[in-house]
Amino acid sequence: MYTYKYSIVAMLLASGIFLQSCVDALEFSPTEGEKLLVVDGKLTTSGEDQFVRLSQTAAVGRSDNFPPVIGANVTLRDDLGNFVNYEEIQPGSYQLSGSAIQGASGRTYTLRIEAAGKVYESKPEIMPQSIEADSSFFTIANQKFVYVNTSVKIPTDLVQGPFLKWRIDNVYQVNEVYCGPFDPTNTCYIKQTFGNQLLPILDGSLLARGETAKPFVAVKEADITFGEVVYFNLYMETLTPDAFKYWNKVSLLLTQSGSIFDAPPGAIRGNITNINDPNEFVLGYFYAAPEDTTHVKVLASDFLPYTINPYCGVAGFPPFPFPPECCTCTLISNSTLVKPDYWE
Amino acid sequence: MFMNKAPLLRSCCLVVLCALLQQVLPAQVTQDSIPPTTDALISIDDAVVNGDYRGISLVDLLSIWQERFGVKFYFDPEIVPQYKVYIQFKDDRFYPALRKALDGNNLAFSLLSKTTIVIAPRQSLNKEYAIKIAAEWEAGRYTWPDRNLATEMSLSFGSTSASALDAKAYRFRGKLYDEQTEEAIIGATLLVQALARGAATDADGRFDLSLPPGKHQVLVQSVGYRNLTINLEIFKDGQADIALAQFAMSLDEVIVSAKYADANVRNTQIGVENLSVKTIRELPSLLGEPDLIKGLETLAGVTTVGEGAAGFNVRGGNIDQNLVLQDGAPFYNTAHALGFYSVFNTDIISNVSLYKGAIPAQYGGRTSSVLDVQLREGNFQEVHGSGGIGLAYSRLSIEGPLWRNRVSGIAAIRASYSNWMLKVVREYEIRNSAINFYDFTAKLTFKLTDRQTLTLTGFQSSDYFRYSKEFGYEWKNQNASLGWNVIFSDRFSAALRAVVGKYTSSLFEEAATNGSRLGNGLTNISLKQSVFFQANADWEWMAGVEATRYLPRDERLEAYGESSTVAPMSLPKDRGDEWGAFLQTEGKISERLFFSAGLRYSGFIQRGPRSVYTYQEGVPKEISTIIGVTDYDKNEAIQSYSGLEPRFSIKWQLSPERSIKAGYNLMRQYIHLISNTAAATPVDLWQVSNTHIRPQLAHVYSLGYFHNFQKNLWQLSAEVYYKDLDGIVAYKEIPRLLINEYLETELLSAVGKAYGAEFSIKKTSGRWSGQFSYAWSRSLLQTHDALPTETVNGGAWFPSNFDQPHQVNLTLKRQVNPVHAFTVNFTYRTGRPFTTAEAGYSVGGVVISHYSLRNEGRIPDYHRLDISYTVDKTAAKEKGYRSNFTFSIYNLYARSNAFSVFYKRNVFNQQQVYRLAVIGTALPAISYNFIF
Repeated sequence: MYTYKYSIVAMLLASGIFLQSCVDALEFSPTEGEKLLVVDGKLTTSGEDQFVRLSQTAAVGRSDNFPPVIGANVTLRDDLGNFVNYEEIQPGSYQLSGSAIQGASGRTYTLRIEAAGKVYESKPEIMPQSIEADSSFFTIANQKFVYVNTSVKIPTDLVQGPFLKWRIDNVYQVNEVYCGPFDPTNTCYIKQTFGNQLLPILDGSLLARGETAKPFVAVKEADITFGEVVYFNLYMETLTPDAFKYWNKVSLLLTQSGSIFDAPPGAIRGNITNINDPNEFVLGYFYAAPEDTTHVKVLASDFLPYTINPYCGVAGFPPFPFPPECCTCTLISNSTLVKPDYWE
Repeated sequence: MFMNKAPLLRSCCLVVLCALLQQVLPAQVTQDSIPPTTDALISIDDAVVNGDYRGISLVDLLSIWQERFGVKFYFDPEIVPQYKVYIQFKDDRFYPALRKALDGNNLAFSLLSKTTIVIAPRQSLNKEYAIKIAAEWEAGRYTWPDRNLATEMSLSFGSTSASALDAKAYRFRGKLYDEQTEEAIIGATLLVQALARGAATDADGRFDLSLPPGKHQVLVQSVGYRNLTINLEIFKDGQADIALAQFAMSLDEVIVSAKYADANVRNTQIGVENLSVKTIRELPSLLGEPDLIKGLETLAGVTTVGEGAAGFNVRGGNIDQNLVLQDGAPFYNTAHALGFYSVFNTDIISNVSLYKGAIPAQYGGRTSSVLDVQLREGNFQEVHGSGGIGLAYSRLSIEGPLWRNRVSGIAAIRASYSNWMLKVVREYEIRNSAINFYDFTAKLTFKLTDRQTLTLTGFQSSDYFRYSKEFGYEWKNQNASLGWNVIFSDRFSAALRAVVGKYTSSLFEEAATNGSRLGNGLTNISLKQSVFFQANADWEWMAGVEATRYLPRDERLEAYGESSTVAPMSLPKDRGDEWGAFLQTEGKISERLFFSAGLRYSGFIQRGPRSVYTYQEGVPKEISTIIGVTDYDKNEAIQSYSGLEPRFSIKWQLSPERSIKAGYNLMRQYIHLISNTAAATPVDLWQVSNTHIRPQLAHVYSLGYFHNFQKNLWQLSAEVYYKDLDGIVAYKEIPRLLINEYLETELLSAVGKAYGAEFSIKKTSGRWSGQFSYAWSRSLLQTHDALPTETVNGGAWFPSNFDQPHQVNLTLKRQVNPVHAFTVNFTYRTGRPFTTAEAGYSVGGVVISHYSLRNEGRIPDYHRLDISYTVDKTAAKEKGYRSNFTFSIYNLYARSNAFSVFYKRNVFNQQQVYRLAVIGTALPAISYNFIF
């Protein structure tokens, strides 16, 4: 669909027409501006734990360690009068406790935060009707790039939207090798998150009703983790128009390339307000979204004739130097011995 | 009954100004009589030279002196005839006078005897060369060239009688035309030096000179023509059509616009720039292709946001605040190749005027400037052509009579072939990209009668740009203008112009099921009627009405590619009618005080069909705050705006070489370019004013001092200005502007102010010529009446995207000899503003920057040096095939000028500041131009 992809124009004009141009890094001194509250929260229907993360801004280029906001009192209420607290389980990370509020389409939710003597509230956020993905699939380009798409049929009765946003991770499998009679050969399942600058979204308003859209949502270069089985997990959220507008702006900031057709960057105002001082600039967004998950299975054999060796080598030919995690795969971060329920 | 108003006003202004100037010429100049009567015919050592030789050819001068002083001049007839002099003498000795005449042309002389003088280019002249030249003459191999001698004629009206002598003055009227082509000669001067009185010809070559009864010598001069002396006896009103003969001209001089050498001092209006095509061509250019817009950017106060950006910014204004006209037809996108070139073909341009200060009342609809480009008429006698071959594109133009002396035509085409440059790039995406354009311009001129002329101009251009198999743009300009000029009497004439124009553009994306093509455009139809009345030699009037209908094309989205599932949709855009009535007068208050005043009353009506949304008061305009909708039928008036636009300029002529000017303009603009990118894209929307978007309003105040030295050899100007702006379209943060039915929810209304000072000094001729200009300027906006949560920078003033406080331009030309010339161009300007990130934060699993203050930072300053070397042999002969070569290097010291600065995650996933330079190296080029 129509997107801001013109950043490449400058590069074309630069390297093509004029044979020489350049993008180079400039030295700059990080600036320490006023620290602003950042609210990053959502309520989904995934059945997983629901979190709100509170943090503060940090100087540009200094680090990605954004100071957490600790000791806040965070609550959620819905339009039925239900009221639930969040519990701080890690500094700045607040988990919805109890089951008094479950995300449901058509219900409205409001987040309230009390921190540093100030009270903040989100606009009431309605959870829209869920759109489900038909399936997801992949294609391989140049024998090493895995492109993942989702098939979404646009409902005929939908007037506006759908407004979709994806979160993606992938899980690969590592089979330990034989390391001795007292060391069982386990299989680990390791979850990887994509680069943190990926934010696939889709405004389906302009798509034909009743047709199936197949938006591209992720690409990953095949590496050693593709030596056996990899699952891509696509969590598709259906957003409200306002929530989509917010995330679309975030997406545009992520794709800034300085080209002649770049829209100037700007501050993105979310839906959180200091109820006593509406002029305080609060960053971030709280939204409610139904979530639909699809999985894409990629086998090493899908790359044939290109061969990718398993993480711990083919039988009898372990990699050199021998990685210790091939005897104890749980050494790999984010690994688990529990097979995901979708794993076949 | 009709007449093209724009050139009419200018040339008629010239009539008055010329007359006025002659009245204020100082005594020591005007008392110099024409050479034959005052040069003393005695020993050459004691000979004294007096007289005014401005604008005649060197050969003319030598011929006169040869006859007058009994000397003999020898020179290479291939070289010396090309030079002109612009010089006056007052009791000068002969040899210093000769040295003075030659010095400005890089010539020198050598004496073989006291009266045998060899003239040659300074670097070539030595004794051996002088003897060789003399030998050529003695042998008869060199002969006196086809001289541009001043010719003479006699005219007599009436006879001496007591009653005839009683009259205070008689009118000598008529028309000047080209002896060969019979085209009217515009801007020629007729001077009666003894009376310090003169006139200039108007757009139809007509002149009107008021003289006391008696005998007069009238000197007729025009750039490119032999001088003519008319021995006039006038004892009653008389009329005569007079032919002037051309003399040899170089390729560039053929298309030099006619104007006074001291127009900067003489013109009443402030902030008017006339750029000659010759100047544009002499500038070093990108890939060797001269371009009008790039030429304009060498003027003080004219800037661009960067290389490859479409349009130009004048005195802190946006590109949509410039009214760009070609033979009266407006352009809505002047860019070729996304903005590296413009739609103007310099081969067929006659005249370029940029009004950046005082804008006459006959122009309206824009708040910043008017660029008025006039095209040449075709030759009425012979077929001629010209063209050029460059690295990026080639061009060809043909002109000639379709019906000898009655109908002429000129047609020009340019076509690019720049794809070959893409093919040599290694990257797959670029090799599979494409960039093409062409344009075609044609003009027919019909001489219906001696007093009626009909012109028909047509233009079409097409651009195509595709990046790999991903996305691209297409855009087209089409327009046609019909002009009908009628002269009812020597004092009264009229002009009618009808214009139809169409601009279309599209953005296409090849994205499988999401592949789409988004198109929009604008059609305009306009009619303008103006009349001109010359009350007397010192006073003229112009009045007229005009109306324009804007018919924007619906924004259309459709599927692109076989697998696309995009549903076709069409979003109607606002349409409307703009109209204006104007009255403009120009005249003389006293011998030193001149004025130009105009009043324009303009209006705009937004028309249906349209659904207009009403929003809740006191909260931001959002879809959720819509409280009502009103539907309007086709052509039903929805919203109207109107108002007066006074224009005023005044000039105080301190002396013939110095003047002070001041001006005030109020202008209204009813159509806006909705664009929030660093540089305008082809698919940016032209949006007329409507219920939610008010017209733009600009109060412009300007003041200037103009001073020429050494008989206009040096020209200095200093101007200051202040603009007070209202109704500027500003944007909320990261707006969605295309395919948005609720566009007003993304827009803000801003006020603005722009102010600055411009300084320029120019050397107009000589071995070294050129121009230095410096401008200091600011361009600021403020969203003071927006809601607190929507104001930009908390409601404080912030720099506009094109606020570039310091601008320096230096152009130097070294005429090595008549054939070889070397040009250097240096440009410096402050980096444009950009929005700096003041913090980073994490949300939704991504890390982004927080930008709170718009345009708070600046990208690094821009500076660039270009050089070019021209080998021009076009002046070697008058007819036949002639050509020149230009070698140039753009960005000589290969500076990576930043187009932009932006924030992005680096490979270590940390926020990093990057600079994008569009052209990061020196670019050599060669171009070949020809004329036949």
